[in-house]
Amino acid sequence: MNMNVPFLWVQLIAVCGYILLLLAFLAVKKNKVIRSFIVLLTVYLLWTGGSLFMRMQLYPGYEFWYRLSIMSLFAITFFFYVFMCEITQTRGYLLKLFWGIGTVIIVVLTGLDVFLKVPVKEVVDGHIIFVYDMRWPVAIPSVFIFFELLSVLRMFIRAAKKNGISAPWIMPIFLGMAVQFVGNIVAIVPGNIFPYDILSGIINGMLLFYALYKRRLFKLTLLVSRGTLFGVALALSSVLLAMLASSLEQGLIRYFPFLGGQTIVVVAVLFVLVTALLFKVLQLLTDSLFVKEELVQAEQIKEFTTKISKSLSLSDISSELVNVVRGVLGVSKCYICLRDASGDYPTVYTANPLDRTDFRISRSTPMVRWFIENDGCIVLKDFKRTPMYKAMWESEKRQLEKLHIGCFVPLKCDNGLVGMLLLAEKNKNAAYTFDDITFLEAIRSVASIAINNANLYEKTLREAQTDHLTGLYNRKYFEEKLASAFEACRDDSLALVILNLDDFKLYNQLYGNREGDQALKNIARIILGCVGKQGIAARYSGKEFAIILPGMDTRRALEIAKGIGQQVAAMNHGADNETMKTITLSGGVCAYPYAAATVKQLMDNADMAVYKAKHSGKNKILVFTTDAVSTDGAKPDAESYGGRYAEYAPTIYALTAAIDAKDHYTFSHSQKVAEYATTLAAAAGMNEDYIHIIQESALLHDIGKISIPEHILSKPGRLTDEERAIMQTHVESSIAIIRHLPSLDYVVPSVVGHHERWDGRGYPRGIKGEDIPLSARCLAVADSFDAMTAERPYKKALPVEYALGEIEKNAGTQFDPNLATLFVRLVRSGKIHVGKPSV
Amino acid sequence: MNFEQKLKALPKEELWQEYCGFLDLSLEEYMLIQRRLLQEQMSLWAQSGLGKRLLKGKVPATVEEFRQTLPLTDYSDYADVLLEKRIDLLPEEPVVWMQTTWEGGKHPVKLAPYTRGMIDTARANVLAIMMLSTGSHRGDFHVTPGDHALFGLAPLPYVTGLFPLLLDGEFRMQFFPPVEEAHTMSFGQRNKKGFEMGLKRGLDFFFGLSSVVGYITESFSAGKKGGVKVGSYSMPMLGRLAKASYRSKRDGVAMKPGDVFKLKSFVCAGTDTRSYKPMLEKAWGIRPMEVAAGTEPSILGTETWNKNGLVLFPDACFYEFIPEQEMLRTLEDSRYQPHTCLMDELIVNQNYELVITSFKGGAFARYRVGDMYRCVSMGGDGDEVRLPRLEFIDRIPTVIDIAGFTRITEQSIAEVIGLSGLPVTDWVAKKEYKENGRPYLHLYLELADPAKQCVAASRQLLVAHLSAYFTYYDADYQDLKKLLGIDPLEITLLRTGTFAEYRAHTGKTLSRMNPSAYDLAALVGCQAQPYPGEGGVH
Repeated sequence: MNMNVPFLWVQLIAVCGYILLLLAFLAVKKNKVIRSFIVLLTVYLLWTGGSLFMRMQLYPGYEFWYRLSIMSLFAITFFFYVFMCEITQTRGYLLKLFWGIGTVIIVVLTGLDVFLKVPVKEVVDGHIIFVYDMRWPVAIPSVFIFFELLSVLRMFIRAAKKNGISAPWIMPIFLGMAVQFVGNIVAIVPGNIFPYDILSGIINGMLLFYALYKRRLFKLTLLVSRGTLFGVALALSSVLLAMLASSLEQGLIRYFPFLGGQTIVVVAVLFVLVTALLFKVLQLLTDSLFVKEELVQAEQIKEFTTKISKSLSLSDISSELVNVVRGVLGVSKCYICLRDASGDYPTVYTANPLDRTDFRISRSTPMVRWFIENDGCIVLKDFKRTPMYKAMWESEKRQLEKLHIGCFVPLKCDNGLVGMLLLAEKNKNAAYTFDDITFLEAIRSVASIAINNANLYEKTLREAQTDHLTGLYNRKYFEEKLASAFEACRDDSLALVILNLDDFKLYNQLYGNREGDQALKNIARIILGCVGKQGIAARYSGKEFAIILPGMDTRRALEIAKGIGQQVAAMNHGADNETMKTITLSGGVCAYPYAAATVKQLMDNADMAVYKAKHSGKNKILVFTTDAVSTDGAKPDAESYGGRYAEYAPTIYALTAAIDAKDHYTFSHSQKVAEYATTLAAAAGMNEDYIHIIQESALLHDIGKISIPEHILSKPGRLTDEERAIMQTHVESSIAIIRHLPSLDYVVPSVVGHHERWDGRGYPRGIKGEDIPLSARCLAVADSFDAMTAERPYKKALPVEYALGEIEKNAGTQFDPNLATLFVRLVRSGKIHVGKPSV
Repeated sequence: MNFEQKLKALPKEELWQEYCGFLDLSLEEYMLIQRRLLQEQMSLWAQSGLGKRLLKGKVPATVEEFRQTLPLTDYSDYADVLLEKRIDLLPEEPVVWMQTTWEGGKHPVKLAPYTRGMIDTARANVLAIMMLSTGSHRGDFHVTPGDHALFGLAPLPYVTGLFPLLLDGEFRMQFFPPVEEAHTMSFGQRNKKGFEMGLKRGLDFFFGLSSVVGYITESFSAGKKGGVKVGSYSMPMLGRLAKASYRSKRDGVAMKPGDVFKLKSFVCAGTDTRSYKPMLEKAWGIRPMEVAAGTEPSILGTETWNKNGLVLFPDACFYEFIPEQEMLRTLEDSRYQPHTCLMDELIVNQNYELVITSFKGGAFARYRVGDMYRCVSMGGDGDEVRLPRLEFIDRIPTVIDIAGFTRITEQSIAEVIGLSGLPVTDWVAKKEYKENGRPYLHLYLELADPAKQCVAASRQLLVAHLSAYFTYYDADYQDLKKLLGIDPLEITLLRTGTFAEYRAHTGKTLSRMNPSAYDLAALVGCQAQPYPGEGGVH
């Protein structure tokens, strides 16, 4: 082996470089371009290696290595052509075939020394040089290669035209070709012994490698595998061994003669050690350059995956996602937008709580459509190049600009777009790289599923825990919360407030269920506003709310409850309809440990306070104490219902006087009906309050007749159909009058229903059975009985017994059977006095 | 990154995609863009004072509701707001106002506001036009910074004057004469100077009003090139001139612009482009690419590399089309609200009047532009573009536009006749075309009883007389004569009593502006009927 070769280092670098690239590319995922590049690298390696080994005169002799090198050299242009075809996506099968066959012929003839004889070895100034015998046949492969190069150039020009000369991978290829060409020309200048051709080959290889990188055909970090590193270490140590082996062996023999015949073994061991050492050094080097970054990323993805797989909390997952993305990519702002019920994508999480969350991405935004139809992240500047960007609104463009959005990451699950991660531009305005996108792709596939699951879980949980109308917690969840809060407040205090709406059924009847629902929503909003984060509010039942106030005593709880009561009372003020009934609350407060020792006691006592509030005139908040239920300073019990009735009596009197003035019969009829109905109600066991309501209802039940023309009211004969229809409107007219007197609105159910029939054939609503309010059923019996037994201008009074017979006959069809029977019994027993009213 | 920087940094395919990618849209995607941008505009417009007034307080929520709620509009609906530049009543603050003639002589100008968003859109669309005009297939374009351009379109405040301004800052193009110099020149001077500069230094781009380009072309071929001062010519141009001159002399034919100029791009616009195209293609050796633009609708559409019909930009305006029959019905009954179609409802070979709604805060909504288009294809007919292609036919029949210069209406003709003092008793006007395709205004006049009139009334005299009054009354008509050297007026004198005979014969009154060829032939034919007073001696 001859090591006395001029510029041996150039060839060694070339060989090592090609080996390194070759091993690296063998490890990556291959496609046609990569394969053609590998082949090209191999040919380069054969040419350079052959040339090196020829100069080193290695076994089996320089002639062999010369032939290998020259054959490879003549084949390089063809493989370069093939590589160009692949990278520029040029077809040209015929031309490729032509150049392929030509190259095979040239290579074979070269191997047979037809064009160039094997060079002659000469020693000049102690250096071995190889002298070539340049004859005319060498012009044949030269011309062939020249035209082949022209063909490559043509292909290059076409590609440059198609893709623009500015395409990032075009210029390196062009430069590589130029360098290679110049290198080969300079190398054959007479008198030159520097291997410019080899050097230009290295540069060309590197530039081609760069072009492939720019075409994003491989990931840089994937090139550096353990196998590659070991190969490089092996190649380097082999070169070192080749250069130093003989010197080393001689040195060992001289300084360590005792080794005798073992020197070869020592050299081999040293070789292994050097290889291992080189491997380690290379590994450290590449780790710090490429792999370290990749490992860090991989570690972060792994950590992220582990964390989110353990959580079903949307907030935690969002936080982890934002943290990992910010950490790896160095973006300052991230926004997570998730699809809501309307299909839009409001912002639900930001990297910084101070960042804007008031924007939402509309479901009609072209980006959403793009993500539905395509897969993968998109950088805003790339999205701007799609025609669908034209559909973006100016306001949307301004919004993205204001937020400095640079990249969108779709969160897709089961082919549906569940959300989006919006990333701001990278720090220092750095561009999003291929590696960044690869990382985002890895992270989003994990995050999408986790976010979707968490979203679904939270939605289901929310639905299970909340009342859909008011958005407050439901009773079931409230009870759980109360138990847990009670446990948590064992050593502290805990107050419970129960608020019950007064006469809410009536409110619904007056204004309809829709208005009632709206009122409930408004009350819930007021409660949430007053309680805030101090407690937990729930809709305990249809018209009842409960509030857990951990750590609070009776006084503070009472303050909050009163505050709610005041706001609720003021709720309908200022609304369009000034006469709308005011909603009031009856509430009870109980606190642990002052007035209860257990959760059950707490509930029962608060309930008892509510009960007492209801039965002491409503519209008040009472506190339960161990000795009694105390009022909060509202009206005393004595003033409750009786007080209210006394207050309303003048109004009722005024109304009945009005009807008396118009139609005396109706006035006295109302009074008699009131007398009959209250006696019936008392006999049926109804409580005093209810009897009062029935009495007032009876007095007012025909108040609507004020609106009926007098000639119809006092018509001596039968009413025509038209007149009857007018007459029947008196019920609605009664309601219309009473609803403007919110203080009397509780009589409305009886007034509305007193012409309803037990069998559902009555008017105005046609309701039947027990759907008819009890008070209305009482009125119906009393009203009919008086209508039959009273004398009218158009008819004589019917006998009492006949009227009772009619009532009995119609019990179960027109009248409530129980009330009808009871009424008949009361009349027959003389408990109901038939005749002129006693009042 | 401006266009020039993108040109350096991005692959051609990406650049093409950004500016011309709309040509790859399907009709469904195109309509999606249209509807979405209209939604944005509806919310902006309905909240503006102008919108509230025209919508009469209603707020349409959907595109269909918008079309049902708002009647079609014309410039008179906007005049008080726009002519007074009432910015407070507009949907968005304009950055520039464009101007054009409203109605020759009667209403001097109409103004149209352009918002920032409209300008940005117009810029992208002008760059698309520039790219498309240089290519021969999809993805192909050849633009180089520093390209020479002759700009033969109307300057600011006309909308075509936006072209150079929109390119400024995006792409270095050497306009002949330079834009800053051109401001001080008249339209005619600019064209002359620009052409001279182009002749000396070579031309890559030629944007021009078809009639003006036609005039320049004819002048060139007629040998109006002036003396050649060798020193002021670039070498390639000198070489080409010498070669063209030699060939011209050798073959005994006139020199054509195509012999001297090798244009990369040839862009034409304006009324009657259709009639100029064949001549221009022959003379310049490159088929002109037609574009559509208007003061109210902005840069509207372009032909593609196939030059076989206009594709309207999806983001310039929302387009509606009134079928020709419906349009004619509105001419008879101005209160009639015609039915309109959308782009995806067009029918091939049908004519339509264009109705636009501006996008991005513009002022116009369901606005009748007054232009007629024919749908030549719905796309996908072997052409790579899957969108409908249109051909600009002309203005609506009530307006006669000669060579893109004039807006002659019934009222302006009546005014001119009135001013002239000629004893014209009845007339009709029709835009007709000469054998070489050039348009002209043909007036069919009937004078008072020849026995009673005491004015000279030979045909030539009438032409000269009326022409003088048209020139006096309508500045655009004057420009036509001044810039193109043409007097587009032709007169046919009808025998006294012809109109009466026509009415008696057909039972209908002939439309005064652009009656159909059939009706006109019937009118002329009525001259053969005996005149009631014929035979008598007065």
